[in-house]
Amino acid sequence: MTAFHRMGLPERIAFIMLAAITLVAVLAPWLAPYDPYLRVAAPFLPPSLAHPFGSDEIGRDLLSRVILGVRLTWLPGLAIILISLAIGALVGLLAGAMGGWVDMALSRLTDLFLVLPSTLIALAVVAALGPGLLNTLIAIVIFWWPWYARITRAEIMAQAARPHVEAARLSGVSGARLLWRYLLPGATPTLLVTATLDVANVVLILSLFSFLGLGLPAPAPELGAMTARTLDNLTVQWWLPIMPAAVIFVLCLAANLAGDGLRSVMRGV
Amino acid sequence: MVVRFLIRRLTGLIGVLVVMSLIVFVLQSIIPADPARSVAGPNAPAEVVERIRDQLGLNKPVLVQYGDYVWRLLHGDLGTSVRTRQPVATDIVESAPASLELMLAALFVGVGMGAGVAAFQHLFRRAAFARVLLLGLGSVPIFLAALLLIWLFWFQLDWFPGGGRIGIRRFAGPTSFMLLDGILLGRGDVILSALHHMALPALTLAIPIAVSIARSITSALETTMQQPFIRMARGKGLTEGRILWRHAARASAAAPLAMIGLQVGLLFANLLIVERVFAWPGLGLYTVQAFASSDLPAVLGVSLVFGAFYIFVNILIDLAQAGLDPRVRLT
Amino acid sequence: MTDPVLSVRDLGVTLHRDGVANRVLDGVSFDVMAGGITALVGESGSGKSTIGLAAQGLLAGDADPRVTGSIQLGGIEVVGASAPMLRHIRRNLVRMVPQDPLAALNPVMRVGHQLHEGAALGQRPEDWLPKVGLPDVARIMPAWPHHLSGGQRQRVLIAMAMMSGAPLIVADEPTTALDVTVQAQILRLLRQLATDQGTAVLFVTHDLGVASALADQIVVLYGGRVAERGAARAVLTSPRHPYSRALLAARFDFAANRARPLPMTAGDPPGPAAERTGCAFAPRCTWSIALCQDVTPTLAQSDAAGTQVACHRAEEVRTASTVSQPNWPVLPVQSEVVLRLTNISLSFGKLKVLRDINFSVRKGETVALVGLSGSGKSTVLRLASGLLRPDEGDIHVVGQPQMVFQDAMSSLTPWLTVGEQLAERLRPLHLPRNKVQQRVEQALAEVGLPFVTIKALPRELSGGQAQRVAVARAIVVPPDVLLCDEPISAMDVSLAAQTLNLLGDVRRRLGMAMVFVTHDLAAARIIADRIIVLEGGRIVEDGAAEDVVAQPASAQARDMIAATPRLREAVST
Repeated sequence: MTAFHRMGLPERIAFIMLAAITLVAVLAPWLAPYDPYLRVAAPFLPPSLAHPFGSDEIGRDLLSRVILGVRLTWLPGLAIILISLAIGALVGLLAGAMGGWVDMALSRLTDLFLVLPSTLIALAVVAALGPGLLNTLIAIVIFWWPWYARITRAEIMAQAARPHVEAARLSGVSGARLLWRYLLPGATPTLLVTATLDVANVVLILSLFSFLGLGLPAPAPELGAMTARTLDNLTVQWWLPIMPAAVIFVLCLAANLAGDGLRSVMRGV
Repeated sequence: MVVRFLIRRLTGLIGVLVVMSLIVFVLQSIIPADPARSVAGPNAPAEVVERIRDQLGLNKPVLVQYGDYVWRLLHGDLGTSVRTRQPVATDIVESAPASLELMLAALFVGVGMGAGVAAFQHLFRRAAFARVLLLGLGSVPIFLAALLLIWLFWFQLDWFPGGGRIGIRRFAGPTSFMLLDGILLGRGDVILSALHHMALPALTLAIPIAVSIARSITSALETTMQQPFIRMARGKGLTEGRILWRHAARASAAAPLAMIGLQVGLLFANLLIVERVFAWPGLGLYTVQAFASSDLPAVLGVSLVFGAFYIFVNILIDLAQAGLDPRVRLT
Repeated sequence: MTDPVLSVRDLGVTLHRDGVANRVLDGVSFDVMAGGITALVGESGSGKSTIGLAAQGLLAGDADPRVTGSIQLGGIEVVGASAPMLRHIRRNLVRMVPQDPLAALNPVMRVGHQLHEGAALGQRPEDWLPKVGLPDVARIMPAWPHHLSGGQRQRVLIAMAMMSGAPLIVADEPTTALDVTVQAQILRLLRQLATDQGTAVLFVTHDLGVASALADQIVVLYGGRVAERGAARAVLTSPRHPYSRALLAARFDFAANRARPLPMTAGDPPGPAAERTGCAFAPRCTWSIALCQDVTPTLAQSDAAGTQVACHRAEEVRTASTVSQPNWPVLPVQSEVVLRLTNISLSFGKLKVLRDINFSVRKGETVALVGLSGSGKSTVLRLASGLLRPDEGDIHVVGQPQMVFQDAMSSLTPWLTVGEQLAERLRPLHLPRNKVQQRVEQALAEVGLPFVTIKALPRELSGGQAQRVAVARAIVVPPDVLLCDEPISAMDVSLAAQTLNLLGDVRRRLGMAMVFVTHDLAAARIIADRIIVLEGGRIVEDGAAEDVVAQPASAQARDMIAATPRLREAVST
């Protein structure tokens, strides 16, 4: 991966952070020092060495809950991006490569999704279907993939009109080989950059859902919900609402830095 | 040409509204949560639930229900809120001015701040600083921004109130837009109090707008400033300021304008959070309360109204883009 | 002709890209006299455009330009001038007529407004537009740039430059984006205005023919240094630098010998070199001796008329006679028809692009399709290749024709190696891996590329190498018909000559039929047996190459021949 070497120090750190966050998310149950669901200390303990993030209103270790919270935000976030990317790239590829009525139908469909106020409808969908992670996931994916479809289609169309693809067609390349070797690689840089930056957007939206009570039900340590439930503690036990929110900030910052670094590297090529 | 464009876009608008009404209706019919039960309360006997169910029209066939629904929509009837037991339309008319006022203020402040940051970045060549600032601000979840602002400006400094819309009891103006009412009635105290209360929530909502506007202006300007016609303008001996305003600004306006359109979509979602945190009595708070009580008619009614507003704003933006760039054809 | 308007002394410019310093200009000195026209001639990468930009203080800031030496405009120093002084210089002392007139006009500002802006006091666009050949002032003034034609835009830009009253105009390849007939009009206009207004012109070009039609003085640049400088006549009639000599020899026109390869300079122009010692041209120079590698030649007076040349062997070069090359082998045209277009018509929407096209190409024959932009010549080629289908008519073709595209670099897939791209054409043959490798290497050898090129990605190739790879791909399985879509239109003279020779050689060795699309009748005459002239989507002339040029039957061909700048005639008058 030479792209990594072309990046500056901050971007490299951002990518290492992305990897570290993913590792934490995967290993969360083993990394959390205490059981996130059990009372392990006095309530409302301020941050200390034993409990770096303090303890919550019923004495649970906040750090352990936040680590679990990272898992509950980060993994669904990545899943949303990957699933949307897969659907979007496939649809965009089909639309761009086949043209005609297929393109027409798929473009109309993606256009429709794009003119709707997506976050709002996703909220309504989850509110209607009932709160929960799976519903949230589905609702966001439904409104997320059309962006990737549009990007892929635009890049594919741009590639297809370029002389190198015409030359390949004259060389006798066609069908799947043309798509895979000559068209799709043209779309990957843009898709990669967009998807990396979108990890931050999805994490923000997930935390928004969770804040509004549309995530997992009460005892689950979701970051947004933890802040929402302890809003009134802000002036007395500031760490209760601030710590989970600050962790969301760190997650997004890492994704944004990495995406931005990737973009400047890709543009520099 | 403009008339034809408007007709086309308005038909498009109707189409989108039909789709939204369909989505909304489908959601209504497949809900697992039972609004009749939530109206009646968890301990109500089955007959009471059934009677409420009948009153709400939940026992008719699906198609008839959709027909009824559209018919009622056409008459401005968005259904009855399960929570407030008022028509949703009435609820929306009551709380919309507060939200509209806040959103307009946020857009105004956000676009202003965004343009300011972009201009700073361009004129003082502080690209790295501005980039880190924007990436950082763009990573802040909206509720963290709200909490930090409240903590600093209300709890620590006590410069601004931490919630509510106005500090004057039982003030009711003719338009329900506090600022406008204050101006119409010549009440300086109302204007001041309204601005005072609006400052923090508007600033919170403005941050994500400012970030994306600044980014979009910056990248559009970057592209434009490398165009040969900018070099040509420099070659005429024009000042950098004049080049920026007369040549580059208009040529780079399209992408930031489109970004404003997109941001209006995100603004609705952030509005929910901000109104909840600041106890701002608008549509956002209304929706959050509707979520909490499974008040589906209210949630869906608000979604429809917001959706229509969003599409309307984007038509305005299309028109503005066409007005700015003679190469854009309205079709 | 008293004081110099522009005086450049020992100018050095270093630009940076991705942190790598690149010495673009080094020790450049020359003067432009009031009312005179000086042509700055060189290949791309010679630094010729940088001089014009440096004179306006307009070098791109992100390239972190370091300028040494001196540029004086009317006695005012440009190098190191303050921002207000630079604005004064740009406003009053020097103006630019750019290469691409569309890009140089602000697309969202009306033409009249752009003309007003920066005009000297008392200069009115309404007076100037008729002078540049745009009498319809009422239509032009409120128009948007995209409503004008390419020629009209360039006239507007010339008016814009003239209205400043600046004593110097830098014209940076102002006609490369225009059709040959429009090019002639614009050159005439520039010359006439320069004379009428007493404006000096620094004319930047890669085309000695254009330079000879216009200039009093010629400065030949190579690798960022002045190779030769002198009165136009002297430089054109008795060039003293091997590079000027090579440029002149490679410059083909209607008098060039088409029976043998064009005399040409092998190799590529120098890339972005760090500090070098010795003569920049030495690696490509047939006169090069050991001294040339070690000691950079300085510009020295060479005759009484003031011609200066930077070459250790200038005197020998001037008096040497041309070495002539052997003739091409004669490739007989056979009777078998390999491509036949019958009653072809095509429309894009409402626009009729081609009407009633009929012609055929026989085995071993080369046909040139010539026309202005919009004549439909490239569309014919795309039809023949099968990339496009006609609305009406039949296309008969033997085998799958291969195509050499206008921009060779963009016709190569950026993420695949040369070897992978060439091998695509061998896939249907199901050859074993080592056989494929062998065939690819063989094709690369045919076009004169080393076999290591097989592993290269397109971005590692120079423009000339990319062109050769594109030809190699076309012939790795020799097609019956080779289609060439303006392959030399964007090229410097020496690269164009290399390409014409390569195609001439390859098609003769492989016995292919070739269809060559170009807007350049001189190139068509050199490469082709037959010339077909297109105008507005119709064939207006079809005849043997020599006949079409010598006795053109169509008005279109006559116009194009008259408009083509001719080197030798310009020198002899």
